[in-house]
Amino acid sequence: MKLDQSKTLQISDFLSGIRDELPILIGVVPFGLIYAILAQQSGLSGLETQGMSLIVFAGSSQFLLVQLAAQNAPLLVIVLTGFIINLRHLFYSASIGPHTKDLSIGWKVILSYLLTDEAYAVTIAKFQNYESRTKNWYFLGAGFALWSSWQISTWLGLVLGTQIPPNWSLNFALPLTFIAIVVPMIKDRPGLLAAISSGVVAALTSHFPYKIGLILAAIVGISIGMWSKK
Amino acid sequence: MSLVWFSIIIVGILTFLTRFSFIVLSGKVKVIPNFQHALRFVPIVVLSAIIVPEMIPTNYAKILLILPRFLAGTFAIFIAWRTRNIILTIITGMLSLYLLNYLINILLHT
Repeated sequence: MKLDQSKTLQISDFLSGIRDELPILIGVVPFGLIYAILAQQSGLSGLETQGMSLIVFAGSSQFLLVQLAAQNAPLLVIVLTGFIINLRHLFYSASIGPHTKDLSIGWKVILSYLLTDEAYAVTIAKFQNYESRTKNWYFLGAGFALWSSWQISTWLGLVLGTQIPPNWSLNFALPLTFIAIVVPMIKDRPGLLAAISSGVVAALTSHFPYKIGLILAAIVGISIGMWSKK
Repeated sequence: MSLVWFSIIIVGILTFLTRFSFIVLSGKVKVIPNFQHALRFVPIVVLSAIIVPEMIPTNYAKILLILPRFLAGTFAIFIAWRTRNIILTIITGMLSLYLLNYLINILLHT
């Protein structure tokens, strides 16, 4: 009886994770399509394109890796660039870590693999005011929804190829998705100041190599948010 | 093995380890309270740092090309603030971008 009850909780958390991730997918699917089209135009094979979505599984770095590979950049440059762009996941990992600390190592491995911008954003928004013994299933649902749509949209991009005209500006859908996620998260003055300062620093440093400006912006934003809270 | 596959696998491993880092460490190390305060700002600052450069792309030389993205983004922020509706925010943002691009095209050709 008790077992059945916790199973029900797991399923309900898993399903609400998927449900909350669904609106985000409107922004993610076009991004996946564009990635696959760009990868093919840059000379990657279909297998490499899909393989990158499966193994790296981090949208913005995949775009840069494709461009660097097309320019025949040295391996060290490609690896360093990919690593630095994905450094923001350190912040995500630290932020979600307290919520996953009692899980088994298998769960930690799976949830780490699924820790993308989009799954993180939806999950942390929920976790900030939600307690459940099975909330790891919520994370799994959100991560799974994002993962499958990323794989399918990559594949669709490979199939559809250049049939999508570039002047549709589909790449703007992803920043819009992030706007829809981040604006409701800003609830007080420190949050607002953190967002504005981080955005301004990111815009001023966007020409820095390897997207290093993103890390700078995050550090400045967090510092200003902390300072204004005092 | 090709250079591309090498890059994919190495970046894949590094990305995974970055994501795994604090997830595997937490519970094993004590976290200072100030650090926990700082973490609450993480989603806000990282997402803002991704959004704003997309609204003001520096590689676009001409103001007429920047303006539609900036205005459409600002409008989307307003819609997100008032409605808290993800789908509505994305759709109104995209539609206003199309409309502004269209208007600017007309302006440029008259």
